[in-house]
Amino acid sequence: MSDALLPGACIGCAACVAACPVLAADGGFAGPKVVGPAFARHREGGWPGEPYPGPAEAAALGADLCLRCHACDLACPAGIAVSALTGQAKTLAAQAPQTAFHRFSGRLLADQERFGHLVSAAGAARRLGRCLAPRLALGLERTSLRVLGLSPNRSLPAPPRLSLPTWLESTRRPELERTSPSLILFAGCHARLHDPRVGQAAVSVLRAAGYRVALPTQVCCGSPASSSGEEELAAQAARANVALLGQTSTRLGEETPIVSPCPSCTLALRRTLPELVPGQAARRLASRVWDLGEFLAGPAASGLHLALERTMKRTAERSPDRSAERSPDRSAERSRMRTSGPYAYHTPCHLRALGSGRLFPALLGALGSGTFLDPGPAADGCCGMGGLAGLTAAGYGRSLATGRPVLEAYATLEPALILSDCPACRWQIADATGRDTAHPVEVLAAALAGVDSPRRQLRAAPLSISKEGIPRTS
Amino acid sequence: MTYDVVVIGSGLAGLVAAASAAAGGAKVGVISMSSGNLGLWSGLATGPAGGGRDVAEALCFFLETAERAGLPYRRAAASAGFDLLAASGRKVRAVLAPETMAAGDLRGLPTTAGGSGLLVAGFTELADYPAALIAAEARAWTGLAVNHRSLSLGWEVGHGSGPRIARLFDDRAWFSGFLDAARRVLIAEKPWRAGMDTARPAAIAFPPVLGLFAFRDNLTALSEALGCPVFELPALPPSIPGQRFWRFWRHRLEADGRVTFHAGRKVVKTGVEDGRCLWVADELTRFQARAFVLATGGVAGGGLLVSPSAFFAVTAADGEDGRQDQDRWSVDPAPDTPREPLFDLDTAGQGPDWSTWGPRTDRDGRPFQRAGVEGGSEAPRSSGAGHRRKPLANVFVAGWLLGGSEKRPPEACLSIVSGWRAGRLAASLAAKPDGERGGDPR
Amino acid sequence: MPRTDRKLTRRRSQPGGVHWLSTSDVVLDHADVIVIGGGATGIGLLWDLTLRGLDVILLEQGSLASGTSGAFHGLLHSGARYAGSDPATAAECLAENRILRKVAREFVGNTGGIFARLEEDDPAWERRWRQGCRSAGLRPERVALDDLRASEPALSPGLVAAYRVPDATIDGFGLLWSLVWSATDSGARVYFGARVTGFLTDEAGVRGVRVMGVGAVRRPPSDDAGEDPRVRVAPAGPVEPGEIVAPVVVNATGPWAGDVAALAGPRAQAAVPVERDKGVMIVFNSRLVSTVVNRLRPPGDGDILVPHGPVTILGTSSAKVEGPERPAPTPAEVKRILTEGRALVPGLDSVPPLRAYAGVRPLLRPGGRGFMLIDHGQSGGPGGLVTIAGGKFTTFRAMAEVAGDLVVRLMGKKVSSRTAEVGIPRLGRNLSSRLQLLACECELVSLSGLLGLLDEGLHLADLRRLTRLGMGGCQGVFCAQRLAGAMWQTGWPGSRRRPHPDEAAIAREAEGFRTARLSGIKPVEWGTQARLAAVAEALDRLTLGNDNRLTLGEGDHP
Repeated sequence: MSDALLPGACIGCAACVAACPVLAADGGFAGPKVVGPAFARHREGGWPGEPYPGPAEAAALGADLCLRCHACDLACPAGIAVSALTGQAKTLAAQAPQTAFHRFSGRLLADQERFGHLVSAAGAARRLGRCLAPRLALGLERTSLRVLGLSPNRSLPAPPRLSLPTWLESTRRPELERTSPSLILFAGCHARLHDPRVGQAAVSVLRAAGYRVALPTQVCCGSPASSSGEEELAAQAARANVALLGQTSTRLGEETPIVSPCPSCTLALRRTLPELVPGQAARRLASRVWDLGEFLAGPAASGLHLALERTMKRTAERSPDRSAERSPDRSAERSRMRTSGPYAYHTPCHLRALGSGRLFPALLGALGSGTFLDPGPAADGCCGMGGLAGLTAAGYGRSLATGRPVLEAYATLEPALILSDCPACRWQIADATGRDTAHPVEVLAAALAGVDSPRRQLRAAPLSISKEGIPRTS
Repeated sequence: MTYDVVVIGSGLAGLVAAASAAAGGAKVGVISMSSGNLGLWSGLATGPAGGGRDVAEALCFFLETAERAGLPYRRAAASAGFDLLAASGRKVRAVLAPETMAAGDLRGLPTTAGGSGLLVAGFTELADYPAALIAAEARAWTGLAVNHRSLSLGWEVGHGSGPRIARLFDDRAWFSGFLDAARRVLIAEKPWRAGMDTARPAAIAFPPVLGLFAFRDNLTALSEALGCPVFELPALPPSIPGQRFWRFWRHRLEADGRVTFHAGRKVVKTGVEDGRCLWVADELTRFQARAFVLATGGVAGGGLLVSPSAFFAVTAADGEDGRQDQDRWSVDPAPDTPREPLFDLDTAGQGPDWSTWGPRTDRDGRPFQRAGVEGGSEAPRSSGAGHRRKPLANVFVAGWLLGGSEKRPPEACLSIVSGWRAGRLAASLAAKPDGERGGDPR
Repeated sequence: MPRTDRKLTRRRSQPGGVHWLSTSDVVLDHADVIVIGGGATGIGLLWDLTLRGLDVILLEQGSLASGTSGAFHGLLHSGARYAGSDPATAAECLAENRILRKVAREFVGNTGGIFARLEEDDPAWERRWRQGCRSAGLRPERVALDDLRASEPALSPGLVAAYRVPDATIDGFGLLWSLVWSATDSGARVYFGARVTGFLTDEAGVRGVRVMGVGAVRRPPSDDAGEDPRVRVAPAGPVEPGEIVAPVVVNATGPWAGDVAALAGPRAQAAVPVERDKGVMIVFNSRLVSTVVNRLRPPGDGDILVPHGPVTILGTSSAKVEGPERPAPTPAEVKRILTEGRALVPGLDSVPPLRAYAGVRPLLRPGGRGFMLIDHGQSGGPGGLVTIAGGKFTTFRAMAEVAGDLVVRLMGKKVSSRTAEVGIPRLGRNLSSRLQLLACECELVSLSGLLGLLDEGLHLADLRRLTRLGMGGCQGVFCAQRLAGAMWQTGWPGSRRRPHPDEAAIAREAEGFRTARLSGIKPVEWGTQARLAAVAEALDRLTLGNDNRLTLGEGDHP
């Protein structure tokens, strides 16, 4: 057992307890120290005459309530992978008896591929309904959510008109890409199946930075499955991705970077995948995975810079009267590209867990793409969504309670847009505060396209179902 | 990734060093596994801090940064520091204390016989803070009149704890309800002790859970509503004051724009050439910088590792029958000392003094209490392979990794002062164009 | 005024119970038999005699199993350990192993055991051992080394031979507490903190004992309901010893056997040939092996690894000591055991240690681990006094049976022992609600269960032994304050029904608990425990203002 998974190394200091957002909100969760190392220690071996801890015990400790936000990992002075040990308890708790309905709705969310395809398949019907009879259509959507065990308070993203792969191919310019280095885009279920705007923005920026973007067949990264304790499903997804991405890598080159705009996907591919799939192929794959922010601040930085120069020239050419006012101060020029800011940026938990720093705000700040408002230290925490945990009927209230300090902090600001890399965070913040949200790459794409606001370029905003501020939980 | 200064470790010393280096103009990267022992830290800057201009500057810097971060600290008027009641009922001294605890300076509290004394207020659901016991111990140890009251938060049985209560205190609506209840419960209708002229306590002490973020407003409101100073007592982990420090300082440093935090990264390799560190790396990334601050903690923080061979460095000589003679002790001529794993720095062991071994022990007899890097905070030497006892010119050591002094084990002020110094030196070194080792202006 | 009626009193004629005596308590009681010694032997005898229908009082100067039985290896021997040197003892162990697996099923961990020889161990011993096993009735089964390496990856690859034997682990504290509660439910009385200061004698011999309370915690003041008439609180001033009258007294005090016998005169003392031998164990915070592992060589240090729940106990050692009190392990002993243990588990240095402790074995002077029954009436000492000396945990039931047989014979009765047939229920006093609000997070001990036990007057040390509170990763460093709070909540040393919290006593208990835990860490402060000790020291000094708090036995209250 690696050192990081050794429960015997835990001295019970409770630093993880001080950091856990779920414990702070919910007395039913025994906390990371208990559900992680303490429970794992007990599972090592039973005492004479005592029942071996099993699913019932794991469920009684509230193991299913952990959101896998990794705050505990980042608080442990001994470097114990607390959330991984809690994850083992979650997997055990998932085996506890539950109603067929709970099992079904839990599985639905854990299996994002299936859920996403379900939603996409209903896409045409939803579009038609929203056109012809919006209120009725919304009502039907709400009822369907209830039937599936999901919370009707959540807003579903608008059904996209064009899928991401189709858009990608239709906008490809092969003549420009002949000499470009390639990269594989791991778009994430949200961008692939629900809301391609993020994928489109990412692709535009990467292409502008001089890359040829491939979007091979891929499946869910497995993060929702891991978060629900569905270990086998997560392993299946990981194996599938190793195979599919491996094939593409063989075609494009073994060192082709894999870039994802969703930090949960990046974390799953980089850290969880090599644990679920033994072998060299998985490890090599994991070592090539980049978060989009990391990539743009790293290998693509110079390409991005050139793209920016090009845009500024184009903007100047397009409005010759403005060129007369051109000042030697580059930052003033850049500020003309400012989209209608100001922004607030929310660091997703999984991005913090990757440990790469707050790259997008730095990038956008350096490019002069807008000012950032400071929501205060309370906003640095977990928004409470927990990937998809906040979508279920039971999880909705809990997620708002867990994320309350963060959501309240954003509710008091007046940014034009709240930016965050993680689609779950955007969903939660939008639902709770009523503000518009976007992935920071969308602002970047707009800046490169020389337009004022990314929102204008994009399709109709999703119809929100509830907008009365942050609903109070019972 | 390249920075001017890389700080390894983000406990108290690491955060102060990062702030200090950023204030010195450097672009700082903080690489750390975790928030160190901040989750255990009571929040008190215990001392003594020592004397000298350096120390004064360091403490000033700390106070300023804390103020800017939104988590103000106070310095005691008396030179001996604050005299505070702890959650054990005993007294603890501190050079600096968070504003939430500073009002609890026992020197400033009325202790006259007719006075109404101190009220220790607890929560029945906070099992870690038994108000009645704290009050009893406080009476015995301080001689003050101390009473206790417990407020019930009305929870059903569940895993109640400090963080959960702190979350409630951040909820404005809940807090205004709490204010009413507190007034009713804590201010008695009639004097609660014979000889008292008033029902109002002279001061009220709470556990340190009055909000992770809204504590300033809460304490002000409580003081106004209850008509007396209200403060928090330092207590055992899970520590909300420590968590506050981590969240507020990290936010401030990130928002200021010069510091980037790389959390959850364990440095496993270092690149040293010719007495200079060029880079440090975890499994994925290499971090380059012109100067480095090593603030990984001492034995308590996990920055110094004690192996059995370091523990048993003093052994009993072998007796005649092959069993060890427990009355004769010999010192291993080349004892193992605790290991500093990143640069393999030379450390001074100060292991257990086995000649005084026995069931009665006092704190001075505990092993490795003063273990630390040999030779001080600048230009630490390493005898590890490849370093060959050359001083590392651009590595500065801060915090409990330095170990304690001859007389005392390390204190929190050591982290603050050494962190400030290391950050400042690292920043000025990084600013030099040719990277030559800068001299200390003193 | 004690009754002088020596007729046999039936069960349930007087209510039983467990009492903790303090220095201000005076006991006046009477029974059929007095058992001195609250370890495995004494409690086994309490059980045996109660099952035979006798009225028994047990006296223990400390608390349950605070002597040798509190520091044993947790092993239910198959006897194979003694096969090479003492096949008679081996046969005894094997018989008891089978009986205890039957009657104490709920306390036995079926780990099985392995005897494994390393390359450097003498093959001649292996042969001798196998012969000894045969003559003891053991049939060790040869184990394929490949299988062993696969199932026990922590063991050294240098094993050259391995045999399976029916060793097992046993939850000693749980078992002893269940026996105490079973017996007291049937009317027996158990007095903890009761030190025997002398014997009451008449011309026939011993007729009872004089007993002083030695505990530091005063019982709550009386109110009329529920006060036990047998224990009264003395008025202020020097306290006279109490008296307990019984026709037969059994001395089952392990290492103290000679000292207690001495109270009955030098001839009684001379009849008890007990030597004291210190054995040290190291506890590691990881379940390194899934079965008991013994090294197949002449018994030496660090030969045995016992998995006990999430920990592994590595022992042991042997050194003569003068006094009966439990000493602290010395670093030399710990180092020696660690060195030997490394041969069995090469990666031992990086396994997190937890603590080390030492126990004192009562060895009979002629040597060996057998036991001896002494009827002092036949050996020049006073009649009515019986000593049962020597032995080990595994054979406690047999010792109790033999002693019980003698006791009933001395009383002129014919009742046989039933301990080999009657199953022992696990009386956990309602610990089943384990997972509600936790008192000890490391060991998942629920607060509500704890409150119930505190109501019955258990001290923290008792709670620790019964529930393993404070025996996990934090060793009580982080939870002692919470435990003190729980004690106050139950109005300790009163109960929730009749609260009478004694804050000073609670503070002393919590302090003593914490100090004792930290003392156990002291001999193993490397790796994780170096960090724990450093953190504990820093918390003590810098957060709680406890300077010099780690001094044992000094009351610092002004």
